Amino acid sequence: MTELFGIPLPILLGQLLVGLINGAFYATLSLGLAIIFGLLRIINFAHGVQYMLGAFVSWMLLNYLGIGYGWSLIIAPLIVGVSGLVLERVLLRRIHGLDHIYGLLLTFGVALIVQGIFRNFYGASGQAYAIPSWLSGGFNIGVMYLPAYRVWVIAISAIVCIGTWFAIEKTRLGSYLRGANENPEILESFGINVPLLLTLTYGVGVGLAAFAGVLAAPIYSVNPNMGDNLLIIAFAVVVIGGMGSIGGAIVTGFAMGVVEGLTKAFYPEFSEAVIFLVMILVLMVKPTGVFGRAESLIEQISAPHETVRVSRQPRFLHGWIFLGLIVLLIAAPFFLYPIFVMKLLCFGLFACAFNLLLGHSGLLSFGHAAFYGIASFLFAHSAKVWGLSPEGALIVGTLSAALLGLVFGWLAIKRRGIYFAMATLALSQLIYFLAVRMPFTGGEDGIQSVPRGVLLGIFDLNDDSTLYVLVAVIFLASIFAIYRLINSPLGQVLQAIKDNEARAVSLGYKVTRYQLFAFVASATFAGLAGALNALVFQLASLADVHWSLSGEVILMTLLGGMGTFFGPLIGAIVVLGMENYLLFLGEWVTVIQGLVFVICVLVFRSGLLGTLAQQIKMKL
Amino acid sequence: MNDILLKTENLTMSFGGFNAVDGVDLAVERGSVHALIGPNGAGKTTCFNLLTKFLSPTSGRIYHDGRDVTRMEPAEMAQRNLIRSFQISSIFATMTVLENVLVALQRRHGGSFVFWRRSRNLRQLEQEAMGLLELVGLEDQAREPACSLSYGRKRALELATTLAMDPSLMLLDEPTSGMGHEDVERTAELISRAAEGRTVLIVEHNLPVVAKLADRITVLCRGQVLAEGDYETVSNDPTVIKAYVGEDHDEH
Repeated sequence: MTELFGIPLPILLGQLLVGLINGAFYATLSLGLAIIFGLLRIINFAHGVQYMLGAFVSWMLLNYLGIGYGWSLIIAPLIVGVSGLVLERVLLRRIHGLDHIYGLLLTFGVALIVQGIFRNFYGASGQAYAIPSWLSGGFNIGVMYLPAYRVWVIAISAIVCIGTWFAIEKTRLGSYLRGANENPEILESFGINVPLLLTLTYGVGVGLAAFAGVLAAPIYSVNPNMGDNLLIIAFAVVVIGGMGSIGGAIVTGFAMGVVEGLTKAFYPEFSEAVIFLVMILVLMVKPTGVFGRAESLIEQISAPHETVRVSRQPRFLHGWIFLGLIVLLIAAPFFLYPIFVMKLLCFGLFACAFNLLLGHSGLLSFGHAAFYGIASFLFAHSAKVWGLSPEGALIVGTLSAALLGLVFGWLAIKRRGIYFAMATLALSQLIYFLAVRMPFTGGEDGIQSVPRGVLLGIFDLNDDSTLYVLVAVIFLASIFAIYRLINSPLGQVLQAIKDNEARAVSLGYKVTRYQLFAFVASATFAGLAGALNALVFQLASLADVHWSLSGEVILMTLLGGMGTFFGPLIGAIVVLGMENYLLFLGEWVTVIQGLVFVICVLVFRSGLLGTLAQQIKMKL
Repeated sequence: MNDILLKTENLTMSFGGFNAVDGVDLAVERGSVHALIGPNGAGKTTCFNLLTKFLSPTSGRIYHDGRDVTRMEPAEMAQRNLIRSFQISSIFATMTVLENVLVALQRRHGGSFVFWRRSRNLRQLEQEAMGLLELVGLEDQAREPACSLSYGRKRALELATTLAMDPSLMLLDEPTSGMGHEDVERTAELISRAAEGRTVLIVEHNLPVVAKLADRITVLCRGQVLAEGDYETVSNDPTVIKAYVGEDHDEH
């Protein structure tokens, strides 16, 4: 048999074909993301769900209406595209001109809602969609067998991608689009309806995602989660290619598919991680992305600021709040199940640590589950396998999160704003893949029955009350430490950078150093929370590193009030309370969480405590 | 020559083929107040962003104190004691007026990586900060949130923050733009006081203010140096008059 580099040629070609197919999906999705971002400055987090909708709509057309694949290719993207037009008109329009993170959070909420609804009706298992008869079969080209459908997917995606590229780069309409990207006011003065242009652009981007979904339906099973992983990979592709160029998105998408396919032939165990590794390499060598332009500080100068109402910070009030917190901690186990209270404390600490970054440094990380999870796993492993004492295992877990925070931060802080969120999400997904693959994590089972041990050789933590005292004390000390950091001279600098980065630079502050410090501190406390959680539940599982946990901590912070210090604690209580007491609603909880996201972003950006703070005119 | 503090050679910035700044040679003498004027779109602000490294020039060189700083980062320029202000009022909106100045003083005096102490311990700097606020007439509003100030007062705060860095070279981008008549005079007065013992490069639309402050004036037009000299020379230069005729210099 013919071999190339020790791999049989048919296998190599087979993986190359798979790579090209995946590349076609990556290219189509990141193209849609790039078009939407280029004009609306929104990272469309609903993109994965819109891809899933494309597949589902074509499945429904076939099963409910008997409309076949050929018509679906046109009808499904149109239907989903129109839903995109409505979404833009009704929701996204309202947050135009606000900070970019709100667009990401709003579309994330929409994604949760849609996905939750589909999970309710169709479950997580897949629906089959047969390859249409006119595309079944294949050709034998001697060295390998080429299935017709796969060739079709590669060809039609390439045609659609190139067609879109041509329409944007070479036509009059495209020049309007590019003009609106540079300077919407000027275009408006030429008599062009810019709002309509924005709406249509969003619709086209969404339609592209749905088109990819239709193509995917006969290859992958049609299920509500089919877009999750793909979306995160598309984000990584965008970070690699840089948002600046439409052609760049297409080329990078196909290239990454091929790289992934070839890795599967040579080092199968790396194939899932390779795109993320490429992303890390690009972040190190050319942080702006292969086709990207440098993001200029100039844009920061004129960045619009939402009107801020600031109130004075009465320290006596905060002293009383801390005192009240202590009283609550003492009283809580008498009214609530102690394990549940400890869960609240872990998540409260996690949310506070997260808000150190989002609320007080202005950085949106979408990868905080990685820190929580790695600490959780390393705590569990060191306590169970190495037999470390609980204090030793807590230190190991927390330090691992700090170290990972240093690496992530160093890589991701090179990218500003919205890229930062995508880069952290992609990096955390790499950790998730590692956790799935590495034997010590126990895969789907996680690490179970982690011994609680005896603290300092004196206090037996198997006693729930002793454990509660330990968790409560660590919680209080950590919250106070974060509070102190935020109100320290360094905290002032972080606040200044958040308020006005360009001005901080012009005063001689090297902003990335301060942001990196905040990032590592935030990761460290997030890790401590994760380790504590593993101690309490005697369990470390894949859920601790999953991106949905990162989404949850964002929700807690947003709901509680990201401009406040104590808000995330309230947010954690509400979100966990909701999950705990609405358990009977099943998947509807996801829908409710999505709704809360959408409502918070649209009308309630100050959050619960932020609104209260404005009422009483005091910082909380 | 050492009495040139800031110098550019053939400084050029092009945006997609259009030269916003086109081969500018500029020399700012140590201890002088140097004004950069010109009709709208002359490239003054771009020039400013180049000098403070907020933009990287397409070609040409920049020298500060005899050293080539063309490839330096903006924060490093600031650490060389070259501090700029912005055309739009640039303050830290959620912090108090006093904290705005303190955060600048903190940079100069060090200790900005201190995370374990209360920010109240910055009190030792407070006296100096209050002095600066008095200088710009903001001492009574020291504890107010900065975003509650009027536009003119925000600009005054920005100036106080700039002065807090004790810059050897101040670059002021239209410090009186958008101000009412009274604030303009007050600010001009303030700048002329602050300029003592310093070098100032100023972009300004308000010609009376330029006449009052500037020792030397460079006129830019379409990215190029049109004329240079003192106010008398420049204002009588026919090419300058021609460049301004029919030009609508927006800011009232």
